[in-house]
Amino acid sequence: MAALHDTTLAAPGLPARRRRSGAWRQALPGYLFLAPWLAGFFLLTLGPTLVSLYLSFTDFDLLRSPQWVGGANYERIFSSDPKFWASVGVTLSYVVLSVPLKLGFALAIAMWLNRGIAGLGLYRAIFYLPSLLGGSVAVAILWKQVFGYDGLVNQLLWLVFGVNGPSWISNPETSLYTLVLLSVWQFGSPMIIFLAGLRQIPRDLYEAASIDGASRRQQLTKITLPLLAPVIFFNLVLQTIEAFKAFTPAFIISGGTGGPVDSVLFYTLYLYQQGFAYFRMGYASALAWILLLTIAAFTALAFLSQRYWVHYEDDPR
Amino acid sequence: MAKTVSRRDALRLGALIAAPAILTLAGLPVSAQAGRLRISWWGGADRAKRTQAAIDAFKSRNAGLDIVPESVGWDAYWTKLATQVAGGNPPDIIQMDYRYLPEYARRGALRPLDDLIPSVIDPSDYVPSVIEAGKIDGKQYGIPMGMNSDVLLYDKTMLDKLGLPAPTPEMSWAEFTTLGENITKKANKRGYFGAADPSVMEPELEYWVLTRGRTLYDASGRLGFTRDDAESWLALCAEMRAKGAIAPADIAATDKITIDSDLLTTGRAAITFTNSNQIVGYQAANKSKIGMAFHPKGEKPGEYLKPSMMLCVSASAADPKAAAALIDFMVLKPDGAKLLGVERGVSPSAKVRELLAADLDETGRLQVDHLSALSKRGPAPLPPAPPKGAAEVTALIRQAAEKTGFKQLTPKQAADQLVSEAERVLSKA
Repeated sequence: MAALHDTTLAAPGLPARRRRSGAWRQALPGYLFLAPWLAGFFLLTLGPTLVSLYLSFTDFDLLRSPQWVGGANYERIFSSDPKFWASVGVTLSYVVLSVPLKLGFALAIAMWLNRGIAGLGLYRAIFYLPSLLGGSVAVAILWKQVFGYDGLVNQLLWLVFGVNGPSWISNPETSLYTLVLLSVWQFGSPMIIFLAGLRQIPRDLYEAASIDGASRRQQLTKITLPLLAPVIFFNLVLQTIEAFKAFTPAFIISGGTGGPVDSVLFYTLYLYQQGFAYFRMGYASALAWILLLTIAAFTALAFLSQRYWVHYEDDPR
Repeated sequence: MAKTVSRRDALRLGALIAAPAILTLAGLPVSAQAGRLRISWWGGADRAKRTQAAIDAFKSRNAGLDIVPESVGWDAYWTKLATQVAGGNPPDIIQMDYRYLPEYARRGALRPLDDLIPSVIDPSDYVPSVIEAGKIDGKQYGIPMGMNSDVLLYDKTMLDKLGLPAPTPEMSWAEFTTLGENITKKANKRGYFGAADPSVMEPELEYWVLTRGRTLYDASGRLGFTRDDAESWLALCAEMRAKGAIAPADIAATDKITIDSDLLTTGRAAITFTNSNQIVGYQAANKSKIGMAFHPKGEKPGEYLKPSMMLCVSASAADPKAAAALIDFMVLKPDGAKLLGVERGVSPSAKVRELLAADLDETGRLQVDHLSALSKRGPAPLPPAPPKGAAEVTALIRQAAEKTGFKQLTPKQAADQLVSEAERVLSKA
C-alpha cells in the first residue's frame, strides 16, 4: 500500500489536480473504514466536550435554555462551595493512597510471577480476573456485602479474634479505605504490563551482577527498577487518571449520596449530583472542566518529572 | 487489493456502513406521533405489572392505538424526564410528583387539562384538597392517582413473637422510645433494633415540624422551620439512638430510602417510616406480616393526605385527547382502576374507592382504613410544594442526621449548620 501510494504521488507529468484526487482516492477507503469511529468521536466526544465548555459559563437546568452567567460558576466553586473542597479532599486522598498501593502490589506480584514458576498462564489469568470484574456494579455490591455489618470481614474477625467489627463500608472513618482496597484488588492490568516489562530486561544483566556479588536487593534497585522505569511511568500516568475518574464503586456503595458524611464523596460523584440530582448542568460542566484541567496538570507534571527518574534504553543521555 | 476505488464502490461501502446506523435511528423513540402514546412512570416491578395490564386493557378498547410504556426507578426517573424534556422528546403521559409539578408546569412542559374536564376526565367527586394539589396558577395540570400519608410500618410477625404491642395512635415519643428499647432488648440479636433512624429521612423531619405548627418550606419557597425545631428533632433522635431504641448511625447509613435497602426489609429494625401506599411494596419484599400505624403523637397534627402521584400530559403531545382518555381510564374508569388497585395509594374519588372496597386485599384495606382514620382524626393541611433546591436540602437533612449520629457534631451544632446551609441553597436556587 505504501509503495503504491509513493508511485502515484511521484508519477511524473500528471497535473497537480489529478494527482491530488488520486491521493484522495487512495485515502478514501481508509477514511471510510474510520468513518464510524470518526463520527463517534466528533458527535459523541468532541462535540459534547465543547458544548460542556460553553455550558460551564451558563446557568442551565435542562428545562429552560442556558443563561449566560460568565465566570460565576467557577467563582462560586472556588469561593463558596464547601462540598467542592470536601470532594477534592476525598479524591486526592484516594489518588494518593490507591495509586502507589496498587502499583506496588502489581509490581510485587509481577516479580513473583516472573521467577519462572509453573502454570504461569493460569496464575496470570487468575490475578487478572479482578480487573475484568473490578469496575462493575456487581463487584461494588459484592464489596458492600464483604465489608458490611454481617460481612465476610466481620465474620472472619469474629471467628479468629472473637471481636465484633463495625460496618466498615458505612462508617465515615473507614469507608474510603474499603474503596482503596477495592482499587488495589484490581491490580491485574498494571501487573500484566509490569510482567511484560520485566520480560524485556536481559537475563545476562542479573547473571553478571550476581557473579560480581550483588545482593537481591541491589539487583532490584540497580537493575530492575531503573530498567523498568518507563513501564512504571506508563502505569503511573494511567492509574492516576483512572483514580481521578473513579465513580462507580462510590456511587453504588453510598447509594449516590457520597455518604456517610461525605466520606466517599468522590469528585465525579459530586459532579453527578450537581448535574443529575440538582439539575445544575452549568455548574456540573464547570466542575467537569476543572477536573479535566487538573488531570491534564497532573499528567504534565508526571511527564516533566520523567527526566529525573525515567531512562529509555535508546536514550542518548 | 484494488488499485483504485471507484465512486460506485465507495458508495456501496458507505451504504454498508451507514445502513446499521440508519436502522438504529429508526428504532429510537420519536417524539410526539399520532396514533402512538408514550407513558412514563417511576416505580418497581409490581407497579410495572399493574400498569401494563391497564395499558393492555385500554389498547384492546381502542384498536389502532399504540402505547409505549417507559418505567424506571425514582432517582433515574427525574434525570431521564428532564433530559427528554430538554431534548424535545418528552413522553405524552408523565407520572408527576407534587414536588416537581410547579417546576414543569411553569416552564411550559405540561399541557393544562381544563378544556378536557369534564368532557374526557371527570374528577368531580375527588377529595377537594387533593384535586386542588394538581393545580398551578389556577390551571389543572395534574390528575392525582391516589392519596397516601406518612406512616409507620412495623413487622407484625416479629412484635407478636416478642410479645410486644403494636404502636398505638395515641402513643407519645417517650412511649415509642420505650417500645423501641424493648424490641431491641427482647429480640437480642446483633444488629437488630426497635426502629429505623427517622432523622435521615426528610419526611420525618417534616412530620416533626408540622406537629410544632411549622412546615419545611413556606409558600414563597423559604425555609419554614427554625433552628430550634431542627435541634429538638436531632436531640430526640440522639436520645433514642443512645437508648438503643433506633438503629445506630453506621446501620442507618445503609438505608438508602428505598424499599430494598430499608432497615425493615434488610432485617435490622422492626419499625420503619414511609408512605402508606408503599406497604404494597414492603409486603411484597418481606416474609413477615407488615402492619401500619400512626406516628407518635405531637401537639398538632403532623400527618396529612398527600396526592401520592399525578398523571400529566406533555405540552407537545400530538393527541392530548387520547392521552387524557388513557388517564381517565386508569384513574376513574372501573376497569382500569381495578387493575391498578391501591398500589399508587387510595383513590381520591369516592366512587372509585367504593368500587375497589369490595375486593381489597390486606394491604389495600390497611391503607383505606388508615386514611379514613386519619380523616376522622383531623389531618394537617397540605403544606406548600417544595421549592427548587429542595433536593439539596434533603441531602443536608441527612447530612445533619449523620453528623449527630456519628457524634461529629452536637444536635445544636448540626441544626445550626443545617439551617444556615439550607438557607444559602434556597437563596440561590
